[in-house]
Amino acid sequence: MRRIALISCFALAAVVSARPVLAQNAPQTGEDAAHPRLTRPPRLTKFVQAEYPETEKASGRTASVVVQIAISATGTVDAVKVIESAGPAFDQAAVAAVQQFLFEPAEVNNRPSPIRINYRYDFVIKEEAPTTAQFTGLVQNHDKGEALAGVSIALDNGMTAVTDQAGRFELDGVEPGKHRVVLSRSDLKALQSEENFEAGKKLDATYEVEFNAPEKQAEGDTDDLEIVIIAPTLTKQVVSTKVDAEQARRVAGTQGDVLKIVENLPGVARATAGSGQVVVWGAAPQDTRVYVDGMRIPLLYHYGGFRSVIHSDMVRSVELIPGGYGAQYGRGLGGLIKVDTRDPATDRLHGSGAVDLIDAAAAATGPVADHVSFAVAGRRSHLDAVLGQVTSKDVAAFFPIPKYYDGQARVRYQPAKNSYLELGGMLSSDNVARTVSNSDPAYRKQEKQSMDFQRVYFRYETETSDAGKVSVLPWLGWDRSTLTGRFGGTPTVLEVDTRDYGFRASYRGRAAPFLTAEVGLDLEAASHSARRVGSVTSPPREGDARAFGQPPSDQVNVDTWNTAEGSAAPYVEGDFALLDDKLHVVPGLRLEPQFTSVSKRVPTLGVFAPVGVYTSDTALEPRLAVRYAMSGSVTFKAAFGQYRQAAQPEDLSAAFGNSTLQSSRATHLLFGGAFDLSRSLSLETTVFRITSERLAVRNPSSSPLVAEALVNDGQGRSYGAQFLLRRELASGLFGWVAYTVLRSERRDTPGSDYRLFDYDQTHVLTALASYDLGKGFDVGVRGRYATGYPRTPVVGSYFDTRSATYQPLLGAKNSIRIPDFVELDARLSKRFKLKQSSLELYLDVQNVTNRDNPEEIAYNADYTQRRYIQGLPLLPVLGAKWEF
Amino acid sequence: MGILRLRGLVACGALVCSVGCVPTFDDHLSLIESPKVLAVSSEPAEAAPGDEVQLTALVATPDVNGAQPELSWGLCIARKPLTELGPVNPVCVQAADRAPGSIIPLGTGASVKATVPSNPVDACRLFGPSLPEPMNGEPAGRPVDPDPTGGYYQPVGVTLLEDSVTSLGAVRLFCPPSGLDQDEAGAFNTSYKRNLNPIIDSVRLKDDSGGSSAVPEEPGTLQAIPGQVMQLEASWASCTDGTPCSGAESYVLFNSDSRQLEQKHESIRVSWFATGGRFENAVTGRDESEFAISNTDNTWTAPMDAQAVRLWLVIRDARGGQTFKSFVASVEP
Repeated sequence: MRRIALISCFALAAVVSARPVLAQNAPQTGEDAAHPRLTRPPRLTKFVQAEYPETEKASGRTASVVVQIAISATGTVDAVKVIESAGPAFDQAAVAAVQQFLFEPAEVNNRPSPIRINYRYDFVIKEEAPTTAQFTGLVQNHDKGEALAGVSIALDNGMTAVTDQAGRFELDGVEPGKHRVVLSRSDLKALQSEENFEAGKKLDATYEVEFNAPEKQAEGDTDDLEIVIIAPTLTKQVVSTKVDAEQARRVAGTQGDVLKIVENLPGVARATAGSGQVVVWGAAPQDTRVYVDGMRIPLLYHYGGFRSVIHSDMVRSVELIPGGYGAQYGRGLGGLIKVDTRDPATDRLHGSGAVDLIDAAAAATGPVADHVSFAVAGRRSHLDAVLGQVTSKDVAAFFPIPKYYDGQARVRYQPAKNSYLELGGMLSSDNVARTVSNSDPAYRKQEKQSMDFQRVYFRYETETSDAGKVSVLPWLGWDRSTLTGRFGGTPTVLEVDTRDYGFRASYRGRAAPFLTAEVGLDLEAASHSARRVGSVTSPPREGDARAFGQPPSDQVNVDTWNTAEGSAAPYVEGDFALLDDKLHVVPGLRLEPQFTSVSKRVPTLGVFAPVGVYTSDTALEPRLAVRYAMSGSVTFKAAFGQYRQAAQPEDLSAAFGNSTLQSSRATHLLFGGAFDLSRSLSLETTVFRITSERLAVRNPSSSPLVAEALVNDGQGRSYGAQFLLRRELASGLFGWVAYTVLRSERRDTPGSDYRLFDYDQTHVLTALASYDLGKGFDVGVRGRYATGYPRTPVVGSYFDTRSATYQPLLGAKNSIRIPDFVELDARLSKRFKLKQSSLELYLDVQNVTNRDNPEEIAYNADYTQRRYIQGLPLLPVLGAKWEF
Repeated sequence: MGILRLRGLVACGALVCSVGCVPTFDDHLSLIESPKVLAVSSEPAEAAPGDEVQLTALVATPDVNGAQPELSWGLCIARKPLTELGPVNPVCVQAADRAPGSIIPLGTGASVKATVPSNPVDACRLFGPSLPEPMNGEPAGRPVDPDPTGGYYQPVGVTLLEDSVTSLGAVRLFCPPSGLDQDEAGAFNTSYKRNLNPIIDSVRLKDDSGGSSAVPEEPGTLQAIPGQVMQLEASWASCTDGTPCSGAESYVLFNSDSRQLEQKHESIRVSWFATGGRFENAVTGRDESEFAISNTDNTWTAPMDAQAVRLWLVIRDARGGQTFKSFVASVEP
C-alpha cells in the first residue's frame, strides 16, 4: 500500500472580528452602521490544497496552522495572517494555499461585507488504500521506432490522453480491471488493445503503430473526424468463466499448470483422483468438448490428471462455458472448454525451462525474421523413472504410473498488425501399463492403455477495412487409443484409430449500428478403424450396476469395423444491441447435416461379406442468449440452446454396440445474474436445466436383437445452480469461491424412474486465493468440498463354482454414495530476478492436512466387507522454472 | 499390517498414488467356518441338449465327519440381459419360489440327475450360439457370446436348504457351431473333443530335501504337529494333444476373428480348503502357457491346537470341468 500525504483542512471557526471592517462599496444606514449584525457567514467555495512541505513529510511530521483571513465583500481573500505558527515551512504552505481560497461573502445586516475569520489548516499524513491505477506509456512508429506526438489514447471508460512530443502519455485514476484502449491519429492505423489495471499499480505500456498507406493520404483524407476501425466483438457467452494464464498458474493444487484451473471453476465436478476427467453440469466426460484456438482436441489432461496436454507457456487463457453456448460450436451435449494460446513473441527471444517431481518442460518463442515469429514447447514425464528408484517393482502393479509427453509448435507470419497466417501443430502421448501376478491364473492381470493424438493446422485471420474480421482454420488430426488387457483368461482389447479433418471459417462484422453478426462454417469429419475383443460389459459403461473390482464377464466377442462420419454446419449469429447497449439479444442458428457410415450393419456370419450401413439426418439447432444490463453493476442473462452429439465410434460395433445408433440430443436452458459488488468483487449466479435424450444405453432385454447391444433409449436431466464470488486481481490478491448445487439423473428406458447419474455430485465448493506477498513471494491456498459420487450397493453375493469366484448381488442402482471429499491445498513460490532472466521456485502441497479422502468403495473377495480406496495423501511437489 | 498395506503406504508416501491407496482385507477364503458348496461337478462334463447328466455337489462343513447338509437343485432357464455383468441372471441364484418360470426344479440331495433342456426350451438357444426363438414377430435375437474357450454353459442353482444360500454351478453345453461355413463347421466337428472332468491324481507332501510322499487316502490321515508348515503338491494327468484326458486337455477353438481353427490348451486351477489351519493361497494353478506342467504347490500351516482337520482340493479346467478330492489331517503335538 502506498503511503501518501493528504492535507485535510477545515475551518476552526468563523469568527467575526471584534469590529467588522466597514465595507467600502456598500452604503450603510446609520442604524446598520451603529449595530452591525452578521446575517450570513462566509462560505468557502474554492478550496486549494496546500503543498505538504517535503522536508516535513519526509520526517512524518504533522501540524496545524491557524491563520486569520481577511475576506473582501466580493469573497476574495485580501490578507492572511498567521496567528498560530507550526513553523516556517507549514506556515508558508498554508498561507500560499489560503490566499487562493474564494468565498461567498459574508453578509452584515443582509449586505455583503468584508470580514475576518480564523481558519485552522491541518497537515495530516494519512494511510490510504489505493483505489485506482496509473497508466503511462510510449507510442512509437512501428517501422522506425520514432516517438509519435499527438496520438489520442482513449479508454473505454471515457478517459483520454494525448501523447507529448516525446510520444509519452499519462493517465491517473484509472479504475481497476480490464479496459479497452484505443490509439488513434488521423494518419495512423487505428490500434486497440486490452489492458488489465490493478489498483495502486502503474501500468507502463509501449505501443507501436503504423501509418496509413500513402495513397490514402494522397487522397486527401484529412477529415478532422477520426475513424477508428475495430472488429466488433460478440457479446460474451451468457455463462462462462475465463481465467488468465498468469492467475491460473498461481493457484494451489495446479502445480503451475494453467489448464488445471478448469477443475476449480463453477459447474465442474471434482474428478476422481487419477482420472483426469472433466465433468461439467452433470454431463458425461465425453460430452464436454475441448477446443484450442477453435481446433478440437480429444482430451484436456494426461492420464492420471497430473498435467494438461498443453504447455502452460503456450496458454493465454482458458474459458469454461458449461452450457448455453452460441452457434459457433456444437456436436457436444455438455460444456465447452476453450483454450486461447499466446501470440508468438515478436520483440525478442523468450524461453523457459521447468522441472519438478512429475515432469520436465521447455518452451521458446521469438522472432525469426521480419514479420515471422515462432513458438515451440514440449514436456515429458519422469514420474515413472523417479519412482522406479525409490519403490519396488511390485508397487507399479498396484499403482500404475502414467508416462506421457506433449509438444506444440507454431510459426506465424504477420505482415500487418491486423492480419496473420500461422502454421502449427501439437502432439500428445500417454500410456500406462501394469501387470498383477497371482497364484491363481484367474486373477493374473495385464493392462495397457495408451492415447496419442496429433494435430496440424493452418490459420489465417485478418481484420478488414470495413471493421470485419475473417478467420479461416483448416486442420488435420490423428488419434489413436488402445486398451489391451487380460483378466485371467478373459481378454479385453479396444483399439480405435481416427483421422480427423476440420475446417472452421467465419466472418464477423457490424451489419448495422446496433447489430454485430457472425456467419461461419464449422466442418468436421472423421474416419475410424476400430477393433474390439472381450466382453460386451468390459469396459463398463455409465449406468452399469457393478461393484468396483468385479471381474469382467468371461463371455467374449470380437469385432473389427470402420466408420466414417462428418457434418458441415453453417451457422449465423447476431448480437442486437438495444436500449442504449443495455440489452443484448443474441439469436443464433446452426444447421447441422450429419452422416455416419459403418462398415458392418450386423456381425459377420460365415463367409458372407459384411454389409455396411449409412445413416444421415439434418437438424436445426437454435440458440438464443439475452443479456440485460439493468445498471452499471447489475446484469441479468438467459440462454437457450439445442445441441446434438454423434454416437461414439466405439459404440457403432455390430457386436458390441449398435451400428445404427442415432445422435443424442440435449436442450440447455439457463438464466442468472451478474453483480459487481465493488470495483474488484463480483458475484455471478446461474440457474440451469439440461435435458438430454436418445442417449446410448445398454439394451435391457434378455433377448436383444442382433446388433442392438446398445439402444438410443437413454434420457437424462441435470438441474441446479452455480455461484461464483470472484475477486479480480487487485493489490496482489485474487481468488474466488465457486459453489455448485445440482442433481444429475438418467433413466435407461423411457417411462422408468430416474436414477442418479454416475457422475452426480450434489455439492461442489471450491474456494481459492492467491496473494502477492512482495519481494517475489507468492502464496496461495485452495479448499475443496464435494459430495461423493453415487455407487450401487452390494447387498449379497453368491459363489460361482465354475470360476471359483464370488459374484456380487447388487441393490438399487446408484443408491449410496462415496463419503464426501474435503481437501486443503497450499502453494508457496518465490521468484528470483536474475540478470536477464528469472527463476521461480515453488512448493505445491496437495492435501495439506493429510486427510483420508475416500475415492472408491472396494470389497473383499466374498463381498462381505467393504472399505474405501483412499485418495492422494499429503503430496508435496517441489518445482523450479527458469524464464528469460 | 499385511505386506500389501505396507507397500501401499510406501507407494502413497512416494507419490505413486495415481489412483489412490488400495485397502487390504484379511480374507480366509480357504477356511471352512460354515457349510459351503465348493464345487458342482457334472458327469459328463460337456453335454448336448437332451443329454442326461449327473450333478454332484461338494459341500464342505466345519465338522470333519459331520452330516451333509440338504441341498436343493434347479436348472436356470432365464437368459442374462446385457446389462448384467455377472455370469448369470440374478433371478437364478434366488430361491426357486422367488423366480417362478425361471428355474426347473431338479430335486434335492447331494447328487441329482438332470436333462439338459432341449424342448420346449433349447439350452443352445438360451445359453448357446444358436439364435434364440423369435419373439412377438421380431427377427431372431442375439446369440450368447462364448467364453474364451468357445464354451457355453447351462446354469445350475444349488441351494443349501439350511440357510437358503444358493451357489451357481454349470454344465458345459455341446452345441452345433454357429456362424461357420460348411467347411469350417466340418473341420470343427471333426477336431473338437468334448471336455472331460479333470481329476487330481495325487496329493503329495514335499519335504525339504526335494522328495515327496503321498498324502494317505481315507481312512488314513496326514500327520501334522500344531503350527507345522507343510508343502503340498497336487498333480493331474499329463495330456497329449487331441486326446481326451483328465488333465490340461488340448482342444480346438474357432477364432471368429481370423476364421481359423486354433489349437488351445486348458488352464488348470486348484482351490484349497480346510476346516483349520491356513493355506498360503486359496487358489493355485497353471495357465494355458504352462499346460506342460501338471502340478501345483501350496503351503498349508497346521492349526496351533490339536484337532482333526479336513482338507479339500477342487480341480477345475478352463472348459468348466471340475472334480474334487479330500483327505484328513490329524494335528497332534
